[in-house]
Amino acid sequence: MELNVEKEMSSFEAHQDDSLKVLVADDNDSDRLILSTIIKNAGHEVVCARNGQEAVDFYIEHRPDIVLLDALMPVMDGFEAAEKIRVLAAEEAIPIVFLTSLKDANSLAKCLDAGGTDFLSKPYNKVILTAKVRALGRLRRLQSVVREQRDRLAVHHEHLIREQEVAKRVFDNIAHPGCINAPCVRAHLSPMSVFNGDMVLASRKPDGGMYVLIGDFTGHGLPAAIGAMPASEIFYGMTNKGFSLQEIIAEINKKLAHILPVGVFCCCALVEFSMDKNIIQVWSGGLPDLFIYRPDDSREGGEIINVPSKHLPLGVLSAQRFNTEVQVFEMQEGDRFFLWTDGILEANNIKGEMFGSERLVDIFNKNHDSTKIFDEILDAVDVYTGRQEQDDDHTLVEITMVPQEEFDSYFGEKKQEKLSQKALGPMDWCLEYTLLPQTLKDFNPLPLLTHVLMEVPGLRNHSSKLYTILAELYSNALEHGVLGISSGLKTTAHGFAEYYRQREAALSKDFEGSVKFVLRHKPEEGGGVLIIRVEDTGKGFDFKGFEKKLSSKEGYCGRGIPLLLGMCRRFEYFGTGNIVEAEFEWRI
Amino acid sequence: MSAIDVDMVEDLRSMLGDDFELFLTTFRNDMDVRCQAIAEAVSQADSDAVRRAAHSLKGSSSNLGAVELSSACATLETQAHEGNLANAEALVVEIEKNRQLVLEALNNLA
Repeated sequence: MELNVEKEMSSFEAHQDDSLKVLVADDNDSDRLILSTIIKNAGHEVVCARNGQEAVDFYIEHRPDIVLLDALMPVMDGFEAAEKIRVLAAEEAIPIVFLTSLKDANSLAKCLDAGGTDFLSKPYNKVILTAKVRALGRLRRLQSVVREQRDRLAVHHEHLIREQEVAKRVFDNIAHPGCINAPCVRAHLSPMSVFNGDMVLASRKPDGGMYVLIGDFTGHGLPAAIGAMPASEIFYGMTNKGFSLQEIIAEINKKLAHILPVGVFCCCALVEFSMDKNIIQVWSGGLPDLFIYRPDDSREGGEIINVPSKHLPLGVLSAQRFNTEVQVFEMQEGDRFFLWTDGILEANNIKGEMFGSERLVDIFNKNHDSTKIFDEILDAVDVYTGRQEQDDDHTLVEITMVPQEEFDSYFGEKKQEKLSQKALGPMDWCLEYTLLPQTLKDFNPLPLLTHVLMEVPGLRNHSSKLYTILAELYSNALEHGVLGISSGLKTTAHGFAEYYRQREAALSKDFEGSVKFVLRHKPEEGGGVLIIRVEDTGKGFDFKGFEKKLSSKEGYCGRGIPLLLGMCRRFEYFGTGNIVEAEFEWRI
Repeated sequence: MSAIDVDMVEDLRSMLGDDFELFLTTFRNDMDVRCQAIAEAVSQADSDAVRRAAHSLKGSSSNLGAVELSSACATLETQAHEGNLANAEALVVEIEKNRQLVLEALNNLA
């Protein structure tokens, strides 16, 4: 947008001696003659009217720049004419001068009430009259310049708003809602949040877990919105394909570091919720401490577990220096995880003081009913700032830990993708894929394999199960087979953190071995069957005893196998227990 | 004291140029019309009409510096505005007398 005020003003100065069109309304012939002569002599054009009605008619006909009106006139007096002309002129600020020898204050006030700009009294003075007309002409031009610029600004502003609305619609279309509407998720975002730089993304993982991402880009407006689209595309795309939290956060960082201008970055947290294992994994960079709230029914408030940010914001570090280390927390059913941007803590009251963490903690400590705390926080911030909900710019997300089945049930009816009668695509094929140590160290084969499987129409509807089977078999092969980590650690929820530490440590050292996938798909009547064979170079385990234990239903075995047994029509160990085959059957 | 301000009238003459004669004719005519209107309105006790006519003559006569005439009109206008026509007859006489004086003065202009 170009706003050339100086140019406008200089052209205005250059034209200030230009002639004006002046409407003179006076019922007195001799006065009118004097007035019109003075104005003509000053180089202006004059239109004469003999009463108020003529003045209004001539105003419409000639659209003069200035109107001089006698107050007392037959047919229609000056007051009435002035009011009519004001209405006709609408927002054009036409100067109206009352010609009057009325002297009492009431009459003068009446002139102003009627929309008069100035007075001129008789006897007419040539010098004063000429100067006044010139001054009013200047005022008029100035007003029209201001009005033009205001109109132009308004047009530009409206245009900008429209563009933002279009951009927001585009963004909303791309950023499908994911699972942000799931009952265990509550999110508060300003309607135009994409332009104040905040975003909240939530998506269900193929294995039944959930990722939630909260982001706060520095800055406002379009610069803050640039990163939101690629970030959400990566988030949803990679989540669907089964990538891990570390891989997703690293990819988003890489993309943002590449595209964001210097000085723009994204404070962000990405959290993986595993409702079945009751654990969450958090990567947080540049955000204020997040909270795990564990309500205590026996008293007011409950326990708050701080989840501090451990990293720099996204878009700052290069891919090589970026750290994907996560914090793991054990959760309990009913725990609530709170994510926020600094908008809440930094919300200002009228004195410019921030809401601050003490007030926030206080809300938790005084909480009676954990289902209400989300609203209590929003209300408290609104009361503190004195602002209405609709013009705030803070972002708040709450995730409640619920049983896996409850979480799944929300997606139950929504998942089935309609299958065409005659499924096209690869139906009979075999794939062998072996991962060697370098690859095992830092490559996740699951997205690739899932991608291959999703090419088979019909398997797509079972992506969640297939992902779970592949993920379990792969982690068993890698962690218990190749790396030799004891599966016993996973028998308690408490051991998970230790288990992850050992895994991290083992992967960072040199090791030998490989994991081989053999996937074979065959069409069958009304569907197909997929055989998954996973073979590792580890020393195997006592699978015979294990199978006996399974059949006698003796407790938790640590390999997630009972889960798989329910999904597969055949599940068998071979060799020393280092080879496993699972047969997955599907029907249209 | 002259019934008109000669300097003001000379200013008008130089300003109006060729239109000065037209102006004098117009003014004389206007004075006749207004004075007649005042007299008529007073006889009919129409204070609003009195006020309007007096107001108009007050203004136009002031442009020639006809102070006496203008102030007589002003007095009548004010009283008429208050609905008081008690002195109107006397003021009509005063105005008429001054009108004659202004006419004379205009005729005496070079």
